[in-house]
Amino acid sequence: MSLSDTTMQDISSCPEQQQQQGETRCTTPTSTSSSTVSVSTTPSSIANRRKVIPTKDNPPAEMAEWLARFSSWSNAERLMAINELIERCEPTQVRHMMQVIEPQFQRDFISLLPKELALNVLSFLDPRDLLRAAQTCRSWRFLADDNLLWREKCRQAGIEDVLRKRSSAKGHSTHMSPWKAAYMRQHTIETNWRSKPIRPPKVLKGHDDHVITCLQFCGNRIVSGSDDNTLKVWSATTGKCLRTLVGHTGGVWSSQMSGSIIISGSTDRTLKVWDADTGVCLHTLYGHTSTVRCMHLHGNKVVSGSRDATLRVWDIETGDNLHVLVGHLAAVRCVQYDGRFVVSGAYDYTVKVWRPETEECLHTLQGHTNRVYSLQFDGVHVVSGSLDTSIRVWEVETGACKHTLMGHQSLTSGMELRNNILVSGNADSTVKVWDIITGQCLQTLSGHYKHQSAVTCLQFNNRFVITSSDDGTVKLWDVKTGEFVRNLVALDSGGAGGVVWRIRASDTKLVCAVGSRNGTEETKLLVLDFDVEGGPFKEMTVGQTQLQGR
Amino acid sequence: MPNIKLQSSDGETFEVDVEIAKCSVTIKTMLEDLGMDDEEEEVVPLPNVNSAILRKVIHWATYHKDDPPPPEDDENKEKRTDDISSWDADFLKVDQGTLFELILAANYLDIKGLLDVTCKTVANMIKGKAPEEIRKTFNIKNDFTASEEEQVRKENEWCEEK
Repeated sequence: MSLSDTTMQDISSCPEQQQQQGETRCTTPTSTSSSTVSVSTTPSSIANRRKVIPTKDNPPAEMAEWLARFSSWSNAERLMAINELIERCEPTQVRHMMQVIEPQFQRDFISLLPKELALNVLSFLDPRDLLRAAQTCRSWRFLADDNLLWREKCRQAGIEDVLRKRSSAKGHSTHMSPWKAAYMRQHTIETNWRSKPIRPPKVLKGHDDHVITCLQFCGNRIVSGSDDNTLKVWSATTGKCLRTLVGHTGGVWSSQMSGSIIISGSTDRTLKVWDADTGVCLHTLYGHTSTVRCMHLHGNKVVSGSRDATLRVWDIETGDNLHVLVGHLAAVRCVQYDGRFVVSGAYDYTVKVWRPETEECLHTLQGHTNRVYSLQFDGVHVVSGSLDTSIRVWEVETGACKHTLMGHQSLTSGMELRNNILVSGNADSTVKVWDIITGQCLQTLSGHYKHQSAVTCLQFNNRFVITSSDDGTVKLWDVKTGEFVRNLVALDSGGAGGVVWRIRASDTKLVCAVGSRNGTEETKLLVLDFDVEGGPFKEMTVGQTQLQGR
Repeated sequence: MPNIKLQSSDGETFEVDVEIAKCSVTIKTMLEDLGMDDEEEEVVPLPNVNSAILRKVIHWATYHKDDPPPPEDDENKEKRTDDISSWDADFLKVDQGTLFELILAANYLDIKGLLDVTCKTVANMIKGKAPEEIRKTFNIKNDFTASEEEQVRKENEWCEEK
């Protein structure tokens, strides 16, 4: 065995070279060529990996004979011989054997499987693994870039509108799958929100030292309403003030926007309908006998709630007052309208469900023991937030109270309801996430990084909750885990008077209305951009047909 | 339960419970189309599956014979790979060549459960690996040119969080 010992040592020290030499030897009949050939052409023999010689031109003298003998044996004899051989090998030699054998059993699944099976394998990978897989070789790249594969990844991530969002993102060549491009863009934006350095915000100064009471943001248009009696229309991209809507003789306390139509409600007891493009007041709606405190627009009808304890339904195109809803015993503070029902919350502790066409109150939802300040309505459930610290979930059809959500310690100032998930912001400085079907509190956004003062406004999507507070900060939270992600805004004047009154966010932008009551912070809007760098992006020059997938 | 005979590509014949064999939609359809007669000693030829693989497939099907029928592909179901049973995981501790042929056989025989679990197993071999590690795992040659590789790297850069 001294011979084989040296052989194996040489091999393990330089396996690649050995293999090459072995191959060379197969075609170089330096010794008994017949035995060499039989070795290399006998697939069932595992002899291939024994093409082992100390040096290229100097094989062990007896080896050819040894291999010839092996080749002459039957399968059973060979197996026995192999067993005996292995038994005589050192562990390092056995390991070497494994290293030589292993690649023979490796399969490049993705390149060798039929395409639909390879894609089935890849469909089990998450996006990150797909990106790595695309970097291994050409055939993997081709399959890992499959458009339908990425459409599925987009669907799982809730990215639906590839037509709107598709874009040639940074450095991505135009041949990239539109769905993959959409996914990558979405991921970059999400990372921008979560962790990338926040770009300096655009600062939109206006309304002097007055309070911004309401904020609308849609597309490229921002509208701020103020107790300085005006509204201002801003461009979100340039930050320029495009129009100042002047006409109210009292502070503006509520607004709605749809397309280029803006509606405002004021302490001057009127509503005004404005054309945002021209700044012209189209209608002034008279009827309320006290402050118009809340409103909700649906189609061409707006429903307004007033301190005069009534609600009025208006046609915004004609300016006609269509209906008056009378029944509340105190100021109406919040209203929702879905085209079928009007739901109103008031300082008389009740919530009312109305059928506007007949001006009849269908249900009076009783249970709150203090003023109702906020409402959400999805057509089925009415959710009401009250100064009594509770939130109640009602069924609009029957008027039955399904759940009383307890846990907050103060006034629920703002809520948002999406797909049966409710997020509530409270003056107790916490935010809670609820499942309104089970009535369970899923998360409480508090802990070490919690707001230091009352929560003023919030917004959420399927990834994040964004909250603003009297403490001068805007915070980002993970909606699923309830974990604090980071501060998006932290005013230097926070804690000394600087507050964030209102926030509005799109997928890529955040608008914050900030200021103070004591002069420490000038009234202004901050616009933060989380879009991919260099955005907004041009539409890609691919047609609809290509989008449907290869 | 009556048995039927399955013949592998290399001529070996396996006698299998009909109900077990029918977990293959291909065999099930064949039997229905042929109008399987109990009296007749029909042999079902499976020219795309060799005996070693057919033996494994029968082994798998026998163990899983009482499984509920596989659920229809639910569009909204998340694609998981961490739900492989320990029996299946053990069963699939095989070399890549065998796993490869099992996938082809499961596809040919139309056995959804086996196809799923074998594809998941391969996916798990890819997961969490850097490109070079993937190449090593499957003995893949990097056939990108240097400039292509740079382009591909850029195109597939994952925007890291934190």
